[in-house]
Amino acid sequence: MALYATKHAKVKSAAWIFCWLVFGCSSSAHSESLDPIVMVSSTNSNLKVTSHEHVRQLYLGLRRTDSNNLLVTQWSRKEQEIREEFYRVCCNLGPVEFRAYWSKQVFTGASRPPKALSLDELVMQLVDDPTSIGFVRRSELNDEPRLRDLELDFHPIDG
Amino acid sequence: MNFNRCSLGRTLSANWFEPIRISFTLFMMTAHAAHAAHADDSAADIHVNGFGNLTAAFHDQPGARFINNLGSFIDDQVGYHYDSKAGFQVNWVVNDRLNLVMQSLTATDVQSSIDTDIKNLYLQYLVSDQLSLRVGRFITPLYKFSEQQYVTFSQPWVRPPVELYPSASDFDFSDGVWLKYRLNSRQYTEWEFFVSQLRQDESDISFEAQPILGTILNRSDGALAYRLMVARAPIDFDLPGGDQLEAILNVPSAERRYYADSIQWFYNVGIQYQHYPWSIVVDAIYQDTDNYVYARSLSTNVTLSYQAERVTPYLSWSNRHNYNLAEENGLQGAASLLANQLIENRKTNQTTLAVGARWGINEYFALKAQLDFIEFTPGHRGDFDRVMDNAQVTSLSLEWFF
Repeated sequence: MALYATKHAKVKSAAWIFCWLVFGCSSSAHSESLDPIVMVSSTNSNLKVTSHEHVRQLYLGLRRTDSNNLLVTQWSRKEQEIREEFYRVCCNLGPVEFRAYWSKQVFTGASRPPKALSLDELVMQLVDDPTSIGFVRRSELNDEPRLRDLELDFHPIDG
Repeated sequence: MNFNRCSLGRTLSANWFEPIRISFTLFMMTAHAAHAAHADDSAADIHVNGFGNLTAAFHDQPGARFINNLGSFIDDQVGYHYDSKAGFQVNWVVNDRLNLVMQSLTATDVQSSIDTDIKNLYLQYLVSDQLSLRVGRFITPLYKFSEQQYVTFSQPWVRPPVELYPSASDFDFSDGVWLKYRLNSRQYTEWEFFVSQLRQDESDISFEAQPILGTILNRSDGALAYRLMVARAPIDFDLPGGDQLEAILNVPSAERRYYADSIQWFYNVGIQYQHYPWSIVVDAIYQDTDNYVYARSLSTNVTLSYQAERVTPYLSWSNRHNYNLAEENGLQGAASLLANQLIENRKTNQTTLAVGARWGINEYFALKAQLDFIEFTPGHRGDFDRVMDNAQVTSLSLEWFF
């Protein structure tokens, strides 16, 4: 009986600590823009990326090609806000988990994380290389006629 | 005579010449392949990465030791040597299809001295977008987190659950071929097959597992991912006097068979469900054997975590249950003592409830704190060196990845 009581107390302690941590951390919620994130390539590009799941696989290094088996290079963004929001809505990963995920990929020799570029660098890169894809805000795309909308939008998620 | 994994880890160490021989062979193969490919319009690319952790830990049981397979331990004083380790990796991307990976791990061994092993040294060739091939040395992918079990930065825990993953081992890598085939489907589906061998020799003791044959199915569709694995490893273990001991134990009156040579089967189911900010991972491993020298066990872990902006709290439950623990009553005298000592050594059933949090300091560093509440099955010692009811381990870890 005493053993059961001790065990029960420890389970209770662990559960309380966890709940307290989750509650404490959830109050520092992230902010997300209402401006959706859109997948883009160059207007000269013939790449065919068909679904959100396809984008997720490309950005997690699980897949390397488009629907026509053309090798795709995917680029990330240097700007922290859009980068972190993209990985949340596209890959279900927060910034810490995203780094953790890629540390696993790197040390199992699987693949390497997408390189990060600023918006200007990204536009230049996509225009130069039609096998590249990247992500921008809808408002950024409206100002840039050299980019093609792949018609895959990512909207802020609840939570 | 003690056949358990603990003694294997303590008595044997890797043949120092072997990594050099494999390195040289792979280097020559890579150089040849690079030359044959005429560089394929891409320049060679070398990536150097490192990972590691400095972990302080202690427990609340004076005089007892929480001990791992290499003999490193946590006691009631703050100590660093049980978990702390550093890894180093060079990945030479020869071209779009070919790369060479070398990874070393430095940790403390049984004498608390520094010990470095080559854990990965393989040539990886992408035959097509669907098919890849690895040849060389790799961490045998028996369990969900085997491949990255030392890269604690990639996991929520301070250390992978000890019920499933020994914190260090000389027996976790093997040399062979590993094939991965990704099926063309909307979901990510990958089939893997590996065949490898492990050989460790020291003076007149030798341990060999060959061929280790395994197959894995990985599948993920958005939030849900799972892994199914089965592997077979015939073990050939020779030590001085082993034949005589086997002759003493394997007499007609014995209720069971006791052979150092054995066929081990491993079955793994791993499931991960992620729905931001929540994540749940279930990992279960069943290890089967055809005789009574080794443990037949089921190990399970369930971990729930919550991804906040920079902090990830987690709650983890793990259990190890060894099944073949019934007393041997068919032997007499020394044979009976010996057989029952083997069985006694396997009384390591334990359950751990862990609670902790990871704080991502920046891209390169993370700080973790973890409390383990460990309960033992009555009469079992778990991972400790003596029998007790329960224990509490406290750990604080600084981890890095670059």
